[in-house]
Amino acid sequence: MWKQLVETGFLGTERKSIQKELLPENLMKQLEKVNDEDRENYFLMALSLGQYYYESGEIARKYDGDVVTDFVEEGRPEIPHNMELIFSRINNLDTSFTKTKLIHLWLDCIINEGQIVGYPLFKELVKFGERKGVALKDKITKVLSKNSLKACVQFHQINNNWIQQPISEEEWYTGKMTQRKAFLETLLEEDVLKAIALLEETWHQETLNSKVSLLNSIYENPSEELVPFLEDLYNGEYKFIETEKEKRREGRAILSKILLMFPSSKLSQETLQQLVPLFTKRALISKLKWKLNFPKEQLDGFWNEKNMLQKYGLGTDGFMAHHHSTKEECWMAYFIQYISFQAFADALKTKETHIINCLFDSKELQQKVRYSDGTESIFINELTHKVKFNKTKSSVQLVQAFIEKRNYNDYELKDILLSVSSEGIEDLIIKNNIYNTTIDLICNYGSEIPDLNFSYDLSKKLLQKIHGKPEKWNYRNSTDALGLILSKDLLGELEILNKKEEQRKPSYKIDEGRYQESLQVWKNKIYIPIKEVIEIRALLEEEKEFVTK
Amino acid sequence: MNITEEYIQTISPTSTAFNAGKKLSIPAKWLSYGKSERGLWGELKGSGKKPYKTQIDIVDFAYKCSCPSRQFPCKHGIALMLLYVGLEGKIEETEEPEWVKEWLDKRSIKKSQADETKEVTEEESVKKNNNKLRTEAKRFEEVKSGIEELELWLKDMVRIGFLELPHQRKKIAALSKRMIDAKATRLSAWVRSYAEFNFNNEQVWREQAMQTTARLFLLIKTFNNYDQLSPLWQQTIKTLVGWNQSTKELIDDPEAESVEDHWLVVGQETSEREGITTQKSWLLGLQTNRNALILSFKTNYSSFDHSLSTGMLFEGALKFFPSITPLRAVVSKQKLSLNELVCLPHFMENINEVYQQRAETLKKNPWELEQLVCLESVQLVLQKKENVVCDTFQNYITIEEECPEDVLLNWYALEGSSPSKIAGLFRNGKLLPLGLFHQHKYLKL
Repeated sequence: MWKQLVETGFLGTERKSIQKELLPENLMKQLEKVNDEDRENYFLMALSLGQYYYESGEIARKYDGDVVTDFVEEGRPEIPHNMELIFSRINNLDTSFTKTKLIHLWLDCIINEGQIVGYPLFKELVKFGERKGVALKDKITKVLSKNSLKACVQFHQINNNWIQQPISEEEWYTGKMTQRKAFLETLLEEDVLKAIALLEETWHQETLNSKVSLLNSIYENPSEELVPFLEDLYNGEYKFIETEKEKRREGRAILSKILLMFPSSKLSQETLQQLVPLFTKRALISKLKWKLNFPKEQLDGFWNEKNMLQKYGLGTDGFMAHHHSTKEECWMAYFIQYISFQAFADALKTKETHIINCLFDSKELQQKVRYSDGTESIFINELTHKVKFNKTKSSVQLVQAFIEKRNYNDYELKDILLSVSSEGIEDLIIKNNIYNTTIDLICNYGSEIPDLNFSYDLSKKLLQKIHGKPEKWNYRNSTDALGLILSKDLLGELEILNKKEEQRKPSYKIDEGRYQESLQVWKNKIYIPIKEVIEIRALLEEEKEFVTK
Repeated sequence: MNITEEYIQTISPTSTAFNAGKKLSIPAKWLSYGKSERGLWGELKGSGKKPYKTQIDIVDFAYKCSCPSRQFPCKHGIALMLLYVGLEGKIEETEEPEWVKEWLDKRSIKKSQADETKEVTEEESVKKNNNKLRTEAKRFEEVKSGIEELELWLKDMVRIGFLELPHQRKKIAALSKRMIDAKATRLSAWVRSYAEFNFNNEQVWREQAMQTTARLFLLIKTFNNYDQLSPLWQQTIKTLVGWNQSTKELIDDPEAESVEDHWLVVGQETSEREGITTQKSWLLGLQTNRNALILSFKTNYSSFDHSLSTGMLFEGALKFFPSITPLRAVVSKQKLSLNELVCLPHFMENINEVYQQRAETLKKNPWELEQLVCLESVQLVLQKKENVVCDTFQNYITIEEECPEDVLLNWYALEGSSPSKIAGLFRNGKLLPLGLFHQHKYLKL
């Protein structure tokens, strides 16, 4: 009935009239009083009554599919309200890096407590995790209730990229190269012997490309136990031949870099034999000094392109004229990067410090290259690499020499300083009085700063330095990253300084406006951000202690 | 009243304002802040020389801030409320500063003045009534002439066929304006809706066009019979055509229907048209099972009434505008905010009851298009094409296509697809889920 009314309405009463016989009896009775000569009026009345009739008679439709009851019981309790408030405070911070770091701590507390994030906060949390790394994403999935997790997956808020898959040995045989590399890297950290066994087992089946990929993974996680395996490769399938493929050269280059790092390797020893004669001893009245004499290119022998290619896989394309004035300097820098200073010192029967000083005194290595955006020293890559791979006392000495002898910029210092162990960093800051530089490093490169926890004394010193010149922070980043590193006991000191700042009267030199501006900068850029982060850390620590108890 | 972060987010004019407010909600950023029995206040250093003074009336919800922002509430108002929430209300009650006291006093005086009914002499009353009758008669004639034109257009459309509708946009726009000139504003909206159908989906717009025509024509016919209608029907028809209902008159009217109950705000919906945003708040009387609809409007110069937000439960009274099916109401008394549901509304177990109720309502008022329903033991069934709500008897209702995905995600996260108690809006044969009754709480979906 309704269908035919709709059809007539669409075609128009001029083209199609109503078939009265299709209308229900009740409706017809109502329409009896309506004059059907006025066709439009009659149709509209029929339509109105029909719609009313049709709608009144509607009943629910039957579902013919299976209705599955799907609810997973959740045994874990929801986080308490104070944890929700902490989340809100973290989310309110200025810098994304600080937020992420604190959310990690917040999630750790919840995971340890065996709690879940309830409704509706879980949605905000999932949103927070959208653009974050898989480690954070994975933690988020652990604090969602089973049903929330299911819902988020169902509505595509969460996908497989959110969950860190546990790596298994199976992956080594059947996985993609990224999975295999991940497995190998874990194994190289945890069980080198097993890693070697697996490498030996499957090496002959690997393609040239895969072999280079795997060698790169070894280069990122080198260890002395690997030397025999790598030497076999170096002397076997990666030995230079005239008609070799580029991947073979590439593999040899990686192998030689790794072998040079270990004094026990034959390649390292042979190379040192060539380098030792370049160092000459100069006995001054007060102290002993070493000098590095750069080699001249030889047609035959060690210092020539042919030998460098055959032995170390170094192609001519690796030479960067803007970094090194001669090829020999470039090769020398390469050896300095990979051979440990201790190995140099042992070969020369001297102290490691002498070698470091000798290198810093070398005019050739001290050359500066001028770029459009400032000055950058050569040799920085070599040093950074060295520090990263030798997290030992010698690294501190190296960084110390770097600070003393180089006209460095913050960017250079960042990499080299932060590669040292946390105790080392603190000593270096105090010894070299680089407080302001440290503050700048932390605030500008927050995301690259490792987990540090400065002592109260150093924290106080740093705070005093910032407080000394609050106006400096007017147009700068927030200091909240400092809150992550400074001692938690600093809150009292922070309050004292804030009181001081509030009570400070504008002097005759500074008018009221400027004083107010400076006060606002102190409050909004220094005092509040640092205080917020330290307070949040303290609250999370309390939660953690509570859980432990 | 209970201020929650979610509530503050709801009343914030924009998400930017909310985020800006959040940044300012750290206690250390405030020069001072305090609380009394009736208000919250705080001073905050802004870009101006003097600190901004922000105050909130927490009894009869209102804000004031000395900042120059045109947003309402401004970020400082939002920040003050968030500060209060962040401190879990743990702000000690202190004496109100002079500037707060002055404002709150003024507000309470104004309110008591509004409550006092002004005495009118008999002569004034007769004069006022005569004026009213004259204006009413004039308006009635204007509306009538507008309706005649509308009826003519409908008949023309029926003659030539609604297939021509997509080419009638100009005519529709002109007719809609004509209805406004004729002071039949609601009819103007009905007419405008003809141009808003999705003409790409032929099957749907055909159906919608015919339903609209059927209802509109029935309304025209009923209006033409105005004199034969009962006073209540006359009032109902007038409202449907576009006569405004005065909130003030309703509150002053001692004979207006007033219902005391535990009122639960089950859902809110906003829509914007020509600079006016309308907010519909759906309320449910838990003891009386009465449904109510409260409208609030926002323009560039005025803000919503922020005293209601979804999930809010209060003990109080609503006054209903007279209608054959009274639904639209105003809050006349808001005594006490409640945290937990002390009783539950009547739930329907069988979806067929929804259709039965719909038929009952249609019998009373064929123009009542939306219906608040509470369903028990219904399950969310997610499907590729359309999602449905299914009861234990395998009866189902389709969920509105416009239903935000977030609503379904919330439901699924809270209850999975297990039987749930929900409140929803039944309209056009489909359901919009609004909230979930979950362990003595009502949760907004």
